[in-house]
Amino acid sequence: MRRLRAWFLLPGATIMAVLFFAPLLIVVLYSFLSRGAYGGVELPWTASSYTRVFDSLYLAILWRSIWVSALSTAICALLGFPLALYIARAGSNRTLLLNLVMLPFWTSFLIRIYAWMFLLRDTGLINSFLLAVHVIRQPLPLLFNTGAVILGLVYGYLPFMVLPLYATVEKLDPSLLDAAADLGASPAITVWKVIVPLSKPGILAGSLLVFIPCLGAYLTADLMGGGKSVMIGNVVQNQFTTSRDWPFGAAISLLLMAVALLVTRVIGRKGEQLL
Amino acid sequence: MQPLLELRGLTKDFATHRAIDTIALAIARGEFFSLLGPSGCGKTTTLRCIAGFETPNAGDILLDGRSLVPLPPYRRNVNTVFQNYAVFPHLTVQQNVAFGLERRGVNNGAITRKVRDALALVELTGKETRYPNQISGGEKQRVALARALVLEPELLLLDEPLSALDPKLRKQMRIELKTLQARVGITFLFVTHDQEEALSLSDSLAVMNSGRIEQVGTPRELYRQPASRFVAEFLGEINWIDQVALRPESLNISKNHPGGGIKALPATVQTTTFLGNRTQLRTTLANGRECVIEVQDAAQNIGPGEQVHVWWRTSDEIHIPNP
Repeated sequence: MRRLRAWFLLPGATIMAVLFFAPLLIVVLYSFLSRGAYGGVELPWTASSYTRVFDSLYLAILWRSIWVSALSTAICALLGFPLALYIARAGSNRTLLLNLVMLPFWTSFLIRIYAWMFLLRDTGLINSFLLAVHVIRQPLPLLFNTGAVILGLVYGYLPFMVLPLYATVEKLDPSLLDAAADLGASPAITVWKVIVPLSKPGILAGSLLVFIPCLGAYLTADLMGGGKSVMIGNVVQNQFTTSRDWPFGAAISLLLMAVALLVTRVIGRKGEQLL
Repeated sequence: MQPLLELRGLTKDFATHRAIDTIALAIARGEFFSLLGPSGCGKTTTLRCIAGFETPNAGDILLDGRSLVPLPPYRRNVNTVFQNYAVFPHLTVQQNVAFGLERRGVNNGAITRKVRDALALVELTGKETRYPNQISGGEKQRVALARALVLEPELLLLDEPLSALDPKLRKQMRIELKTLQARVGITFLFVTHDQEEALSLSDSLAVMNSGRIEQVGTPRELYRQPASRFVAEFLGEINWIDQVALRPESLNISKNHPGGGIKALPATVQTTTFLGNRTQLRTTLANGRECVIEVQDAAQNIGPGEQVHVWWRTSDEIHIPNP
């Protein structure tokens, strides 16, 4: 049995080694090489990319990415919590509602972002309607700003918040809610004093699943931010495409990874204390 | 005198069945009252209707003459001790007990004092800062009790509070519960499926069966004069002999016929079981029926296979209308 178990590990371990650790090693090596004239990398070895990473321009973008991701995560939690609670109490409709939460995954993320752009742009559905009913005279600037990026991120990652929250809330012992009511807590107080504190592991798990991908997001920022709302993911993308500075792109992506690991560590510790 | 709690025609339907069916009940102030019945008889549903977790389909629940039905659970002056304790895992012992007082907006000084007194009452002093996962099942039970009693409810509802404890602890808690009730003077409504618990704890009890109340009375009345076959059989072992019922301890056994004027039947001993303070004999009567006898003295060398006489006093006979 023990030998069989080792075999079970093999497919996953192989994939991780070939498709994750090997590329990661390549990224680390690239970050210490010199920039090639037409992209790519050349000798000699150097750490100059890392000194550039700490340029105030890039740190500002990194900081901006962090708060945009944090704000998106917070909004996801605020929207996701009541939703998860509702689904957990929905009885026989639960499966249907959970499927609806996952429904967006049936289409490509790119297509869904384009759909949002069609809704939000100056000649889009929302602005056209508001103009037609004379609520506004000029189209509202709904697209190509930070607000639009946050909207896109919240939209894209909300299911990743709802699912772990649902898993936690669904397991809550219903007699604890009865007990709270019995001891004089109104439903709102019960949510705040009992359900939220007991859902912390789910909130932390959901926050990690939303925050980390938001931090590296570039598609949403690129399309809905319209280049004005630059996030660190876009900087990485640019270094490998237009700027043709692979070592620098590699160095920034490693910095991003360091931030993500740090956040995971901090939240993970917090989670351990709770359990 | 007006009863503290009165149920009038209380009925509760669930999707597939009627859980309780036009129940009427009156509980006096200060009483230790038990609802006894097998699982699924509707006793817990009755309790949940009183607490406010279920809304009855018909009937009324009066506490001190005022209807509880329109009030949500958090506005009822009734508290519950739950079967699985339902102690808040994210709060310390102290915070659990303070929970209800905080909801009532009691000032901090009074909360500290009342929590201390309540914890002393249930002998949990010294465990204030423990979390529920750091204390035993019996201690959680005490937290649940203290948490409810600290609010000084008019009525305390206890939903099988001892069933999750191990047998030894259960007996000890049973005594403590009785002492506690006498000391605080709060009316207890105790739900259980354990007839020994109900008989030993209650001032009065009601036996429930499939959504209805079979009989209400003192433990002695119900045990000695059961109104139905169900009550007779639920409250301990009973033998049916010629239209009358007899408890095992009302029967005596002897090798010879006890003599004229005494009711006796011949029987064959099947097994004898020594139970410490008494001996139980399983016998078969001439008509093939089984008859269980419990005697105090260790059944004077009567063994399996022996022919004996089973006899009893007419005054011990239980007559049940339409058994």
